[in-house]
Amino acid sequence: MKTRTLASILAIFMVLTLLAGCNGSAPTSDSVPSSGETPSVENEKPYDLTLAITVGSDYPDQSKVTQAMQELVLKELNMNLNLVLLPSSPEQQLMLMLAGGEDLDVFPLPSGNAMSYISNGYIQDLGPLLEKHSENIKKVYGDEYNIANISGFVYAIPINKERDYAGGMIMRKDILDACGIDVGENCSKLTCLDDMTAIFAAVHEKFPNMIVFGGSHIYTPASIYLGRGIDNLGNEYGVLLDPANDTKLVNWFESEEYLHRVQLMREWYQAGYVQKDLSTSTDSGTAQMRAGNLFCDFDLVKPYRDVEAELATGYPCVVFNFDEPIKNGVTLSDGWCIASQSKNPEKAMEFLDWMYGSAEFMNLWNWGIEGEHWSYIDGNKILIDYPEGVDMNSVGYHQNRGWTIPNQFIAGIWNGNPADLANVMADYNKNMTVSKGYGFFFDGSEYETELANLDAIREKYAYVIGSGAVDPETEIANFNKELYDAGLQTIIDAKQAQFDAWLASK
Amino acid sequence: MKDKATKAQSAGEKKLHRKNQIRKWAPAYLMMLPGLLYFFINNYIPMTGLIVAFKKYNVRDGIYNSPWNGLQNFRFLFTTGDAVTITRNTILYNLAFIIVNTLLGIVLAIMITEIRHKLAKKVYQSVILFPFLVSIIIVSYISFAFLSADNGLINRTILEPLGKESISWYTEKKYWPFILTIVNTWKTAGYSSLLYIAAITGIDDTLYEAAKIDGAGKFQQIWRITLPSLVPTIITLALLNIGRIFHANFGLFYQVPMNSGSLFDVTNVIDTYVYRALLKIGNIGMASAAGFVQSVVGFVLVYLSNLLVRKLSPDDALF
Repeated sequence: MKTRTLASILAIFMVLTLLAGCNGSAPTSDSVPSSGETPSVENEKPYDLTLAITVGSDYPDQSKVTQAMQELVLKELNMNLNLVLLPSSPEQQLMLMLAGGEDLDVFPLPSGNAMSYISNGYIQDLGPLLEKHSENIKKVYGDEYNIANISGFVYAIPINKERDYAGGMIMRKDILDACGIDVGENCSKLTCLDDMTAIFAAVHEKFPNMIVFGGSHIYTPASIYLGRGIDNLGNEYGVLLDPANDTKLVNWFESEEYLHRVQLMREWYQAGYVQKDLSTSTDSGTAQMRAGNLFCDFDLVKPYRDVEAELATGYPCVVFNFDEPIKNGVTLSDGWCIASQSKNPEKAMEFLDWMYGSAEFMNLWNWGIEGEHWSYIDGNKILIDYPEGVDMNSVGYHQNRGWTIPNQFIAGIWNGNPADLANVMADYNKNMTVSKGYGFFFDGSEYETELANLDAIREKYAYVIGSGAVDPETEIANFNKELYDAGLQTIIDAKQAQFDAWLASK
Repeated sequence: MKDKATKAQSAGEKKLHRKNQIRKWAPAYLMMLPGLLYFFINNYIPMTGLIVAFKKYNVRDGIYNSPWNGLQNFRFLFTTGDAVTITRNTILYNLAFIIVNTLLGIVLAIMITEIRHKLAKKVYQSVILFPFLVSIIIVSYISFAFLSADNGLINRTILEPLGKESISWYTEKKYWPFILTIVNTWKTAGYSSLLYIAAITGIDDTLYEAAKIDGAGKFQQIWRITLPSLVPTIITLALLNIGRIFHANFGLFYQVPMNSGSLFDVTNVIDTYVYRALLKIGNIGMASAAGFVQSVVGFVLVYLSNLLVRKLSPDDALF
């Protein structure tokens, strides 16, 4: 009897603790803000704002920098900043945060995901919010401040950077010199991609153990879905081959240019220039070059890309821009969004707008703390460099990822770049050829079945063919056959119809 | 009259009896309650979310208020030209894995239980279990160390010194059914042997003693005593595995072949296909539809195989 009573008591106790557990986790919403930090000017409780950002690598001083960012935001905006760090390709992490309704206000839109984020209801329409807070954004973009929209739904504020996705070959200058190859100032002696063959052959002969061309499988002249002097209007299925003059959509994977690039890659692969595992490699060309055994990789380029490459790899680099820069709308979808689960979208918008105008915040984010991770080297407080006694290997924080932060040009410009980099970029953007589709973005929400199947087929072929690992003669034919079987023509037709309607409404 | 009275009496007794029974087992029921609650909250309530497979889901309206979408979400699974390939791969690989793992698991279990030296037994057991605890990402890089075209162990230290052409493993389809089976066996055989070791330890020792007295040799003991005693465990495990035959081990099929496109014909399974197709689109309805199909097929298969087992040996059926 005694044991049974004891057992009953124990059992009841277990049930009670279980229920208590359910109860205890309820959020205590009306907690008093810690007294010391609240600014005296405003009595309002600080808004808890969650900002997700991408980082290239972990730095030991991250927590110090985060704290400085939090202090700045609390001081200037009366908000408690909660910083979430994501890897440089954050699609999966974001998907989980968005679908799971986790705390999130402002986050970077992975390029190309605009349409799916709208149709899944993940993001806020920024249009109405921009009426309240757009002062700094308008300073940057003028009338184009709401250009990143799909049929009126403003999905993002674009990142302030180059408005094209031209590709280029990044080569190590010391190796070129060792082989006695002169490519001229800014590679002026090279005219087209075919010119690389002779260079590769020379490097391969002189350094037989070096990987001549390599990188990540996504970044080869033939497998990337950006650049190429074309405009893909949001996805790879139906592109403008001559975006400045023609508005007819065609299949890129059947075009002469694609075939030519694939054949070149195949030629290089068979000659032994290309990294053998390129079609499955996930190590970026930058990382491989830094490791010391890679001569050349392919990447997106822009003015002063060689400076950026040298900073990142530690080797002097030259860049051959072989794509014509085309101002296209896809670059606009590289931007900053407000999540639909934001508890106060207006506050989030206020913060988003503030970021485009806060040099201090941009500096903290990209370069770290002044005096510790960087310092000004000129009187005008524009150019910056490592502080004395600190270098690339010992610095505690140095993201150097200007293309991911909202407005890199108000922050310090790293030494090696011209002091007027902002103007150089503005001119670059202003003077490049504009695609007829600039501002148009395909809305594929009605065609998700086809797009899902097409994406799966692209994954299957694009990188293997693009790395030269298989015979393009047969594989390209198979690739296109599968694409058409999965409804490529349906997508091209739908895209053409939307595009024509958009052109007519302009 | 008398009959009725006794009946009433016995009914009353029964009631009393039942009451006593409940009183008697009350603590046990109470102790079961947390488990039941957990099971209900964690396994049954989420099942209502299955309706998302039939909806055009968006976050703003939530699971229950999003508009209905009929069977639209299921289309991408069946309209793709790869439907046959992915179904075939999923089922054949899983079948192969079930057979190889069961056979090897039993052999390993018998071998390990026959070891008399205590320390050696523990060492062997831990060594074959270890791969099961290794993350699949690490497994994929271990495989890469063997198979890499540039620096792989097989190409560099076996094929090249023998004067043979090195093989570009990640673009050659024909090797992968074997590579995947080997990797999977290496990784999971230890775990399945663990279950059989537990079952063998549970066999009554007197059976073996009696067999010895009757003059049975080692192999006869294994054949006549160990294996028959393992049959219920084998059937239960096989049924559980059949229930998951439509679920592929994502890590194995995605990470180990390094997501190489030219291998898709032999490495693409339902889970990897869904992942590749929906990564960009992120349609939760379509992803749930795929999961729904997998579960339904798994349920039907378990039910059918259980029917079969009940026909052949009723004692061993699960339900």
